[in-house]
Amino acid sequence: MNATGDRLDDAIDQVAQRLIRVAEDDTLAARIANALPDRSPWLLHSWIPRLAITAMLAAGLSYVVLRPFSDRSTDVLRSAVLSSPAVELATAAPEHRTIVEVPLIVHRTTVERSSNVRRTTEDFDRSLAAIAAPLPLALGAVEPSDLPGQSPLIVAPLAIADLPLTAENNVPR
Amino acid sequence: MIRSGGPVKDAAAPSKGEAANPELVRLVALARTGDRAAFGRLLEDHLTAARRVALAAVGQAMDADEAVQDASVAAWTRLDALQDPAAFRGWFMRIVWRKALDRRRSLRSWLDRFGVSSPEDRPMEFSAADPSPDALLISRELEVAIRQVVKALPRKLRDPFLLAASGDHRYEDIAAMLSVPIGTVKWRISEARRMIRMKLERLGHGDPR
Repeated sequence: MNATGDRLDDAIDQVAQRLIRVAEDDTLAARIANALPDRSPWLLHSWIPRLAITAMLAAGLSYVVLRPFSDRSTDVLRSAVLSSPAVELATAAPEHRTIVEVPLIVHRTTVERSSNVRRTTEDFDRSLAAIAAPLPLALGAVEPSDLPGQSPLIVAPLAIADLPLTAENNVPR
Repeated sequence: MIRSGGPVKDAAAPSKGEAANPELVRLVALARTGDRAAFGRLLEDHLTAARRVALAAVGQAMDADEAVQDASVAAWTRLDALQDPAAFRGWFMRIVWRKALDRRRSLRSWLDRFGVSSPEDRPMEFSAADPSPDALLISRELEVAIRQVVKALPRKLRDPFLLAASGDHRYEDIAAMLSVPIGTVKWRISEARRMIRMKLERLGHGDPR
């Protein structure tokens, strides 16, 4: 590398140093130090103690809340009830028990059917008597000779007088 | 010889150099107890380097100072997370770099939303004040050209190049800040320099060979 290259490298170094040159400020450190916040122990700033404290609080809270519903706590409550004087008297002297018959009280409530509901029921009491079975239509043996030759075959009309109806419908009003 | 990028500290320097600094360990221990003055001392010792780190990311001094302030608050509140008090410098610089990146991303997204050019798109601040004798040898035209070329570099190349140019960090420190291997840092710095030279040559500032 010749002298020109060295000069260029020197120039690059000098300009680079100027680019990051800072003006002297003797009071800057003091100003920064005076503006520092109050310093608390680092442990309080870290996450691990926070998580630990949170976990402990959560565990304690869950223990307090869920404890009455555990089986062990139920036993405790049961023993506490059984240890009351009234229960002890009842359990210790069963012969003093008096059977009290509790009267049965029946409350009846009339429920009116809604008028909008209309049901069709059959009232058999008001129906007519059943008619007797009609006689079967019997046809006698007819010989070909009995038939008229050219005249039309006339069958006597079947007349049924006073044909009763079947049970009529009774629509409740 | 390949110049890998400015006055980078010797990578072979003892990585635990800060471990031999009992004053640093003492200040960190005091700061952990809530001693603001001790933390202020720590800031004073590393503030200039931190501001350069932030400036390399955001490109504007005001944004860089705000990023450093955010990083200082974060370091103050998380000081107990620092495993090795002797490693405070690297730990604090990584926080500064992350805060600066957050600010760079938020600035870009906010400015893009409103159609305003971001600081990276604007010409970087021109600090003509306090020119060194060597700086007088560089023409203003060449300096402007270099600034523009550096600004146009991809971020992956520009970030390690500027961090290395500060001279405050070793390669391993830059690698830790950027979360890349040391070899990648070296390659990116070298590639950045190669691209800068190539573009300068196209602009007529290069080697006349």
